Amino acid sequence: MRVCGLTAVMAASILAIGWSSVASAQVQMSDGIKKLYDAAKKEGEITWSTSQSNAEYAEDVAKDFSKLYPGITVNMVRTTGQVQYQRLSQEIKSNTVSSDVYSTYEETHLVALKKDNHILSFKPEYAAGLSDTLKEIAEEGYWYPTAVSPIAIGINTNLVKPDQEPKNWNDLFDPKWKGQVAIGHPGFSGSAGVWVMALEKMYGWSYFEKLAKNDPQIGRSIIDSVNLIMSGERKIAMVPIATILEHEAKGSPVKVIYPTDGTLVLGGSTLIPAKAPHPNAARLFMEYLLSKEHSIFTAAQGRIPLRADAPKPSLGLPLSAYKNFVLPTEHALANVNRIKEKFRDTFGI
Amino acid sequence: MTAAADVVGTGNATAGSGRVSRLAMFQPVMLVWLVLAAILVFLIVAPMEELVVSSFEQEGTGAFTLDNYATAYSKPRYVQALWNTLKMGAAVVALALVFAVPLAWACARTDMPGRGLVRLALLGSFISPPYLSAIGWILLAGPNAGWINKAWTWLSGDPTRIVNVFTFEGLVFVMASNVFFLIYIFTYSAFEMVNSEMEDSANILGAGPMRTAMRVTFPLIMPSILGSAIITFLISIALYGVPALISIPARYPVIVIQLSEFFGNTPIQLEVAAAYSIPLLLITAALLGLQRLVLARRGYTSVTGKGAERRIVKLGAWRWVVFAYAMIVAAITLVMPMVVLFAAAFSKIWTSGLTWANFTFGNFYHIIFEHSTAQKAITTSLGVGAAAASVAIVLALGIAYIVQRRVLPFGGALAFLCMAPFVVPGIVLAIGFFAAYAPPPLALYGGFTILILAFITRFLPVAYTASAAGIKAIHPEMEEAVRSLGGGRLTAIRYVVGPLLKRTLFGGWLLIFIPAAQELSTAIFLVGPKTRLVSVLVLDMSEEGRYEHLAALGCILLVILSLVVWAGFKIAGRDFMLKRDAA
Repeated sequence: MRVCGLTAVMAASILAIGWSSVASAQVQMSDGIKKLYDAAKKEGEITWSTSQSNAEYAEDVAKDFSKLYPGITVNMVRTTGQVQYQRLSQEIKSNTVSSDVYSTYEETHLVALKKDNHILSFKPEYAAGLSDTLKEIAEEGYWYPTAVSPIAIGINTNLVKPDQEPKNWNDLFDPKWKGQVAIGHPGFSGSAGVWVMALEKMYGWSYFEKLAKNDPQIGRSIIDSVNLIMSGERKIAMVPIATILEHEAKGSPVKVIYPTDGTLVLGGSTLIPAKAPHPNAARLFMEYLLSKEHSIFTAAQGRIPLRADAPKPSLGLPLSAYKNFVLPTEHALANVNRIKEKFRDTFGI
Repeated sequence: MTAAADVVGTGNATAGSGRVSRLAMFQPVMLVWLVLAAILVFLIVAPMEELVVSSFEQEGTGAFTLDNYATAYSKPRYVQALWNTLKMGAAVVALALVFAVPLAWACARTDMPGRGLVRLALLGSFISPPYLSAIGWILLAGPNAGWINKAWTWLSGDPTRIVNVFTFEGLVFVMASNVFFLIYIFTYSAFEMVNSEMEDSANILGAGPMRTAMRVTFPLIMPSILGSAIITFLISIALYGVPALISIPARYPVIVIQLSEFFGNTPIQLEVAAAYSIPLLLITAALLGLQRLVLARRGYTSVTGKGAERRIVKLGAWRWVVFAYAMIVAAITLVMPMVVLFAAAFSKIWTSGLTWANFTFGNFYHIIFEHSTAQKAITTSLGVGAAAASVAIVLALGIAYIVQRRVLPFGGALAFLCMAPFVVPGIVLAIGFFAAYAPPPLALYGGFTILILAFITRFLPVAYTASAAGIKAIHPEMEEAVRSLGGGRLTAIRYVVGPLLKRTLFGGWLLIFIPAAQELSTAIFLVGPKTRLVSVLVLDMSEEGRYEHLAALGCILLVILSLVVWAGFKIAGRDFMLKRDAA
């Protein structure tokens, strides 16, 4: 089902040239999309549940969509992957589904939802524009990749001297950082869960036993880690690169360290719940997320675009410039519940 | 007119005047009872039953099983969270007593200066929701970036941290700062009600001030202290916001966190969560039983139709010591976290300090004009809070009157139902409500109704306690006077009880509205995308750690709530929350 050459895809997408159109209030629409847009306008709104980015970015995406497709408002709800799944499960159980579009990094949730027939089957037209490898993340007709997020180490540049900088993941348990590390909780954050599995696969569980001795601050979302190092509450942290680059660009004293033992790359997907109350607007939003316009927007925001025909991201290094890896889906599915328990046992929360 | 007809407000019983039989008086009255009972069953029994039943059900099939209990206690960590919660609750109550009782005494019975200031501070700590004060303390006492630690390092040159909010002590402290006002209010009222003549009697019979305090004053206020201590215990173990913000980083697992873990598993372990919350129900039920036992032992009516004198203790030079203590309590429970919160709301980056370059209105601009849900969340919180408070206080006053005056048989059952929601942590109550009313036929999920209903249930015990205390404080002799002069029950209610209760009614309404407008624990699983509340939004924002935006949103809520309370001052007088009006 998935993914081993994300790097190649990204490199290709970054090298790709030939885009010239600038997103404007009017998009070029095929007949299919036009029809969809007309149907969507009748529904007038969607509720987008996402844990794929911070709230600010998601708001910007929602605004961009409403600008391109006037007449459809987006109610954006940003929470952690777990809370989001909790709410959707409750809605499904009570037959009161309110989310139209659901974006997450938690593959286990995708698989569980598919197993119980809770996903609206839909093949977006624009999915064809994704490169071959990214298509592999997609579960054709069910979910499609809508975010790529590398996870690396972030530092506060005021508090960490250049010669002290951590170089790889093992530096997080160096005793000199006691009380100065921040990580996310796999019980709340899907990304943190994948990170824990990836590190366990690389170094064994003893990695976390050593890390626990350093008394890391455990946040609910991994975005919290970025704010913890920005505020100086902690000096180093595991962070999503997109968020830290954004703050660095705004002048915060933070910086990305790409670990020499590899940056973890997460692929996040989006689906439409089977009983979405605004299915046509949801389909249109899905098309938008996979569209060229959105990839251009993504790149301009400094994030990694999804399509081959998109420009280079305005911030940070392309994936081809540093060592990175992905965690195979099968491994994630087989281990995610186990490591949540194990993490709780080791860290006591 | 007969009394029975007055109560139900229908003319049926008086159809043939003079022929009113006992039966005719009995039936309409029973109807009132049945209607009230049905409302309470809908609000309380059905969701709770759903909770208990599901704890014995197999997920999916609904077959009977005990597996949920086995799973809920299968790990030492799960059991540990239970113990931790009890330990935390006890510590919170102890600290809250230390904060509240001396203050209540000083304000009610001494000539301590600045009593108005203390009351204002208490009011403030009542208005500020626990999660905001927790965030204030995270900014103040974060182990590395917290203002206190940074100030210490700057002053002393010593880089070691002196305070850390992410500890058991930090958790208990923040909790106690947020719940102690309840003990204060109850104890203050009790002090106010103690008739100085009783103390005088003790003095005349040769008891010194100490002995009088221990043998007369203290026993008289003991039920209020115990009762409010139990309530405080129950409130603090059920709070979700403070543990979510502090106990996760402090790595001190408590029940609410463990519950959200069960809900967060794939698939949701609703049944296990239900099973996990049952011992908590039992403990709470036992405590409430104890409270009833304490209160039932003697009659405590000390406010009567007769005038009573309450004298003030002259403290001399000691009053400044007491004053200093009061100011310290006010500073650490309210002023410090709120000042930091406001400072953060006007900062570009909260850690950069109070400099001109760091000053901005941007956070407020973002919340009010740019944020897609914040504005709506504010109106939703206020609207839901007002609706819940109005229904709850009217319902509770009616029931309290019926119970206290024994208007109807089996009033105790109604009272019991009103108090029952205390047994259920807000987060568990939410799941019960969800299980009972989210699915068809009612399908209330995602709308305002389910939030309002859950909030009514959640605050019914507060409403009932306030109402019952208000009515208990009015001796029946005044109504009896009306009735022996030929007035019916309704006349007594309208011209005697009503005016006497006006402040209880309004004060009670505010006592519910303020926490309901900030409520988080009950809301967390009941909000839909279109019914998000400020509290849930704050928690969602705190996941990301954007304290500047969050602080701005919090400040807006605080300002609005303060205005409501200020309006309350204007309408009901300065002491509407703290004084039981006796004459």
